[in-house]
Amino acid sequence: MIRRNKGTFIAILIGLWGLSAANGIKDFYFEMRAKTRGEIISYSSLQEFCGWTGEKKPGETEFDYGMRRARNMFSALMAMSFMSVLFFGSVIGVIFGAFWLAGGFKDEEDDGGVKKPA
Amino acid sequence: MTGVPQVQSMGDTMQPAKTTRLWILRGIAVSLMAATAYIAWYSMSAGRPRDFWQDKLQPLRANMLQFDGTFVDQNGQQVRLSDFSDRNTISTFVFKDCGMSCPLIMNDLRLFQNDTPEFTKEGLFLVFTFEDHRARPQDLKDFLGKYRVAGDHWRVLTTDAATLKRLADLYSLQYNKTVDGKLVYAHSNVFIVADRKGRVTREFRGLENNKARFFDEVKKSL
Repeated sequence: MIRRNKGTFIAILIGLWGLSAANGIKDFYFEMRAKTRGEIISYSSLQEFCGWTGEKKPGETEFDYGMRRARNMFSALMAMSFMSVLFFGSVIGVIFGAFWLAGGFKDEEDDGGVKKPA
Repeated sequence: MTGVPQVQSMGDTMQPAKTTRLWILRGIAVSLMAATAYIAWYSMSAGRPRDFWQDKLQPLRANMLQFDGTFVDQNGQQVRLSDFSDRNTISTFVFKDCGMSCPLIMNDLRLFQNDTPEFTKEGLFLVFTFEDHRARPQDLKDFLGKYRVAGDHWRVLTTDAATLKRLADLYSLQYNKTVDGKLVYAHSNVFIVADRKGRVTREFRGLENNKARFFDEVKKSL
């Protein structure tokens, strides 16, 4: 079932993964933007950042704080892993693309089922 | 031999159901990807990190005008935050008699006013005092006088303890005037920038040493 519907399976996997990571991507985006501008991130002025939950908020119960910590870390981990795969995938894509453009895959098609004379 | 056509017919009836389920799965996959794209766009597009779930689950925080509560300003007038629609606002929280970070906060606002005179025509500085109703309108006027600022674009607002606590909790602000009987002024420093529709476009926490950059960021958020 999965082998015959690889596309659907991968799409659901990426979709769920991306959905978990989507809200955490902003932290990486703004950190990268600050770094490219040569700005220093003021961690003291941030309440939550990239898995760092900060202090307990006013009126927050211990349970709520624990849930926020877990959610924040989960979101950061998902965002990190998703972006790693995304970037790594793009590098693989570039290499495969280069091979494809160079005709590297054509040989396999030509060789398929043809016996070379000894 | 009789079994073969039966199997075929069962297979024929199973096939459309299987195809339908597959299309449902594909629909779910596309929806997940669309939701991912929207959340990622929402959290990054405002020029500040916006927390999608926080904004959607706590719409009050995302829009100041929706806050329910009555305040008294330095002129003794009763106002609601919804009265300030159609004006850009920069809000902050101070202790009226604080001599620590509050003068710095007020100084930042005053410098911003001098740096951006056009803001005074259409914008509004909202200064919430952590002191609940203990401050009389005249005290609030004196507070503004202390920082040599005046005009219709300045509002110092006070309210009852419960409303103030609700507002401070909404923006995750901590404040305490006395600790163990000693008079101290401990509170979070924040600037909340909202557009004409009351939508919070940016929250600055802490005090920025680089004023030019701070003003630049505030102007961009308006």
